[in-house]
Amino acid sequence: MKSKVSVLNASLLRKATFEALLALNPLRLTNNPVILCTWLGALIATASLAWHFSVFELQVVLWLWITVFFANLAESLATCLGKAQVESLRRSKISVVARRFVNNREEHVPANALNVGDIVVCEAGDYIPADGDVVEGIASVDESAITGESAPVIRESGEDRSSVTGGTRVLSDRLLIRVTFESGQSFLNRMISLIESTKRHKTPNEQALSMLLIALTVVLIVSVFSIYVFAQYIGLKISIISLVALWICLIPTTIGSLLIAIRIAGMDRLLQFNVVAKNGQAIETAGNTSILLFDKTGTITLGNRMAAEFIPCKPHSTKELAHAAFLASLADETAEGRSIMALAKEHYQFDENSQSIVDARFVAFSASTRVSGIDFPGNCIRKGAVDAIKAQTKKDQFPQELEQCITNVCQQGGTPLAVIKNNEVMGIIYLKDIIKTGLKERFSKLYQMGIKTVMMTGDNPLTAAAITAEVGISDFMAEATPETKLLEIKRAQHQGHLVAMTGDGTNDAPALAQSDVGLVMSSGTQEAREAGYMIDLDNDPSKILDVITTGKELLMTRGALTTFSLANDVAKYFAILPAMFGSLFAFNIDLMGLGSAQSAILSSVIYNALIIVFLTPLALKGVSYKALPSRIVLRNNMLIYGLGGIVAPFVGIKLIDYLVRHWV
Amino acid sequence: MHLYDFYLGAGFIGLLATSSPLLGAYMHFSFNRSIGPAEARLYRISQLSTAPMSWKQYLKALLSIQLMSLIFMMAIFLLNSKAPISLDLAFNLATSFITNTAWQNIPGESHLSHFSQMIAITTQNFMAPAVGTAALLALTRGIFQTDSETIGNFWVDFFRMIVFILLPLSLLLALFLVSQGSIQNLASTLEISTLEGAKQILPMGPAASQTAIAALGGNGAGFFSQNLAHPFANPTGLTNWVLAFSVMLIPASLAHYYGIQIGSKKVGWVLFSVMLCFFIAFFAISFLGTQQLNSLEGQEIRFGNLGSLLIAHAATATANGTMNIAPESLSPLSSAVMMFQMMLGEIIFGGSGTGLYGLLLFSMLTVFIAGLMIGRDPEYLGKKIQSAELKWILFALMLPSCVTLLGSAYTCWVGSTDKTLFEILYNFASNVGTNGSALSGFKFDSSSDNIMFGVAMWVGRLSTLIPVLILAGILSSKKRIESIFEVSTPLFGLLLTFVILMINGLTFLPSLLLGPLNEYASLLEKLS
Amino acid sequence: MGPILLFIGIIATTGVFYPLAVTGISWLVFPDQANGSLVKKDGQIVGSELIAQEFKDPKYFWARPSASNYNAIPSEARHLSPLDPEFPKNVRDTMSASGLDPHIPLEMAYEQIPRIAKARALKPEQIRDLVDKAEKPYINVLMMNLELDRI
Repeated sequence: MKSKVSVLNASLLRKATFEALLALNPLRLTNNPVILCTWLGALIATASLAWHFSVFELQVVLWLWITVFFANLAESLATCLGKAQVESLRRSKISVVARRFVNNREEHVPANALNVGDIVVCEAGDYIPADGDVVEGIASVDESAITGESAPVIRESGEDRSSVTGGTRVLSDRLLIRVTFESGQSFLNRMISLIESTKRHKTPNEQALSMLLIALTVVLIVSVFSIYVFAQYIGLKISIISLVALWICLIPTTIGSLLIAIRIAGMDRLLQFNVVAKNGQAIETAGNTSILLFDKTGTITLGNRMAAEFIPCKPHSTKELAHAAFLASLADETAEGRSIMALAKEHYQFDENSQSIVDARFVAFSASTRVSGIDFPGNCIRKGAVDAIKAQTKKDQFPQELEQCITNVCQQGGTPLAVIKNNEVMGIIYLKDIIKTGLKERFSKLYQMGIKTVMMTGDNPLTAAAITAEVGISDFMAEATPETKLLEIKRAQHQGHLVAMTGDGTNDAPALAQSDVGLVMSSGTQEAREAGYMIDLDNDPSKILDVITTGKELLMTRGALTTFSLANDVAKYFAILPAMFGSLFAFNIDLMGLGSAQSAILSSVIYNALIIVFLTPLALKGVSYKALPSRIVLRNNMLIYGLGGIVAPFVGIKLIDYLVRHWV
Repeated sequence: MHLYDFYLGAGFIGLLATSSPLLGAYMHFSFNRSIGPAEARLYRISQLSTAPMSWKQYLKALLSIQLMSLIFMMAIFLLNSKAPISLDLAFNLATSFITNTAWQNIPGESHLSHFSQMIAITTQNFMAPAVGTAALLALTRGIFQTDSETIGNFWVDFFRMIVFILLPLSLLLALFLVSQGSIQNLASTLEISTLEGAKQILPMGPAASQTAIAALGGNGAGFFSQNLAHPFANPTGLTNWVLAFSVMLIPASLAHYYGIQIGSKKVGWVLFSVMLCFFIAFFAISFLGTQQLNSLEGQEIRFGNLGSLLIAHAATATANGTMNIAPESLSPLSSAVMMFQMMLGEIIFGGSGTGLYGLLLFSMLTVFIAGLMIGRDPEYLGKKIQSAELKWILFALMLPSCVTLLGSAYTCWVGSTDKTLFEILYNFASNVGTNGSALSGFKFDSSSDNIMFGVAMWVGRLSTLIPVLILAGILSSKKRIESIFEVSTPLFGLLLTFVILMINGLTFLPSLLLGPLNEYASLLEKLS
Repeated sequence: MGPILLFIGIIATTGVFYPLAVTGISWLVFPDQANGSLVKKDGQIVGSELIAQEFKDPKYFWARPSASNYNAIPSEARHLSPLDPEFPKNVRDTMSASGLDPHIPLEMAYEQIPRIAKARALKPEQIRDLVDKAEKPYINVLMMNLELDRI
């Protein structure tokens, strides 16, 4: 859901123009030395009018001021666009409805209106609106969207298991929760204000680039000053105005004026993907990512696994197995449990209401046994992970013929669940992961970008290998724990990789904090959100690809415009130097064949001003990134912005010269 | 140009391209070998630790050698028996040799005793290039090491460059020169009567030994004031070619050493090729100039047209500054190209170590500008180029240019009308670039000039040397990220070439137009 | 103290040992060249093969003009810039860089043949044969003059 704001918006332009005019105040230019120098140059040129006034000189002076104005316009336009972007984001945010409990009465409020300390009610089927502590009740909660664990967890008031997370869902029973963290809009607001403040800070790369621009400016001051002295020494008269014009044309005004716009626009582009970056540096770092770590659940697969097949073992029939599984899942509110029931119903038309079971006792899933099931007189049915079931049965009782089936299921990327009835193995249920569509293309793109992808999963290695092979992921970490995730990141970083990670669970927080780029789902836990550098408001982990692309585009735009700006100087030399020194030489050294010395200087100054306007849309939109080998990307950009930067001003200046001569 | 000249030139380049990788490999071996018992004993006797140093310690050691050299040489000059030398001249001379400039403000053979030549000048011809090379080795370590606080041991680098590389090569070259007619004896002068009975005094002395190391080490300090034009230094056409080759050999080999050291010979080849392309292109322009002029004024007949220009070019492309012709009689186009080579910061082969580290600084700057365009933070061989590094890169690349321009501007401002703008620019470029090539026998006589140019040489030398060592320290302590930006491709070579031309073109093109190109235009007018 | 010892050691090696070693070996292997490639006539040293000397006598080949007046020791000559009106057009007027160029190009040698032939009362062809024998684009003035004297 891209929310794009059109550049061609009259009121926006008006506002930006006004801002740009305000910024002619030099005190507001202190953060942009190149433009401050341009301002100074314009001032010196204006002052020189007092000694020597002509229409030509007046025109040059005017265009110098226009240059300063255009430079400011680019920045103010980016700022205004960004503000509009944030506004539209604020409006479009949809929030969860919370049932707030006030004075023993329930009221429905948007989740974003909740304050810390409020008590909310959640019943089976409700989403928990914010992070909090359970103050009353006990319930099973599906946290798969956050932790990736498909099995529900028990949350109850007390000490150990009282903490619940916004975005998770209550499966059974009723909870009273005290909100401990703000959520939704207020959190978003805080993030947005963060954006506004980070937009004002230069990223490290930008600081370095500014240093280069300042150094060039200083060298050119020296160079232009020495021209003045040398010319006097050899008895050549050069006017102040042409020296200033030369200086302004040569210093990197183009990139100098667009630098800030590029940064702001980059952060805004990220916002268009509904991703909030906590600082500008994070976006650039994202562009540098060489390894991407992500959870299987949520990124590769939809949150929950579905039962796909019953595989019985002799002497039991498929129907017997299906029936046992059906009964065992009667009380299982998880998506898995319900998918088992649905599969059984689909094939054998079982009906939960018609089951004549009396004195049934449901055994809920517990983390220690990792099995669930049902007991009724004469029957004890359990289902659970294969190794958990194996632990419950005697060793030799687990049928050999099933092992092959289990391996097959794993190799297809599925998860086997074993079912036992009265300590007798009935067979296995094939739980299939639902793999999201369109992933193959995305991963092949990442591969082309040179980014190594690593899937982290609690699954066994066989299952993980099957999925990675299917989707085209470079590597996987099976049976991952928070510790191993952290170690993996540290190891990769030690090898010189920049690691991006997507996550949402609390147990991801250490790894997210360790990673160089952490993209956290906004549904994620508070800890995770604090640990990450960026927050995805749409909860789509595969969006990291867009983040990386945006980061690369930001850097590329900066590099491309720098190259273009520097390359432009070649033509400006060819235009201005003959105009200044032409009288020294016996023959014509004006290789560009410009109208006159004056029109050559004027055309160069006009070109120098107009090119800022022409490049502003590119600075705002960004140079688009295509996933190609770096060598090709470099070559292509070099051709466009390097070679283009040399050629464009020759054409531009020549054209302006023609117009200046014939129309003015 | 005769076909014969073309073959000669091609052979020269072929020889350079085949021998420099071999010497580069030998350098890699020499600089990295473990300290043998004999070498270890030497360090023990000198009470020097061979432990790796931080950049500060390395710089301190390096400066201590420079300072000792300065005091020692000034003392020798002041005690020189042959002719009196004033304090400021002694400072200027000493500086000139220590900074690898070898701007000789006095004619050596008439003013300096053989003892002074040997013990002061010949020794600096060894030490100055060894200091430059040591700085390069430190920077190289900074690039290939990771997470290290040290950048190698200065004493070991310095010692090995002199003893393992410079000494054997100079011995061979000196003996070859003698075999061709270069003089090598300890006599003072020889008075003879000519065929027509006139008296002629022939200079004598240990010329070959000094000529050899002056060419190889890049100091370019001639035993005679006519330097390599003097028949006793450069007696035949063959020695001329061999000397030109020697001038370029070590800087060219260091590029290959660098490639081997960082584990990618291709990187070394790319750097070598960039230097070679510059050299050939500039030489071609210059040669065109001499063809237009077609004069033997200021040239020796035995060198031939190509050979005459070759040393002049090799010496200004490198930081050598030696000369076998009178550059003021060249077409201004040729001498403009020579001046521009010096203004580039002497990175076209350049001085021993100093040339390559200049080129590496430009490589990093290129990576910084172009690297962004692949959508990643700029990194050079896995070392990120950030503000901390860029600051010193820019400082080292731009300060000398500014000093050259401001110094020339100052001279013009003060107004010494007997010199053309071109001469002023050329001689400042030569001093700041620590080249030592002089135009029009440009001499300065006042003590203020001696001091000003002395300071210019120190600034030219230290304003790159110190940042390079700081950079080595910063880079060495950095961790390495996975390197994506390829610096071993022809495309990078092309980019590097453009960046070098852009940065220096921007700075110097107007001065070139006002000075030499202006004169060249007048010449074309005069010729036509 | 350590650095000073190393400094002294290096000075001893490169400033004393190295030049003396080259001198010693040269003295053994290339004694003639090392001492200036001196040329004798009738047992008398008349110059160095490598250093130009002034010839005024019409019977000899004349060397190129010397900016330092054939003074082999200090030769601080400033050469002319090509822009200078006096910049020489003819080879015979050009000065070498060292002022000591022992050679002249063939062109310049041929120019002088009639004068020498007249002074020595020889046939110009005879001298021309002598010049052409060198098979180089230039001749060594001193050596050629010695050959002339031997005729």
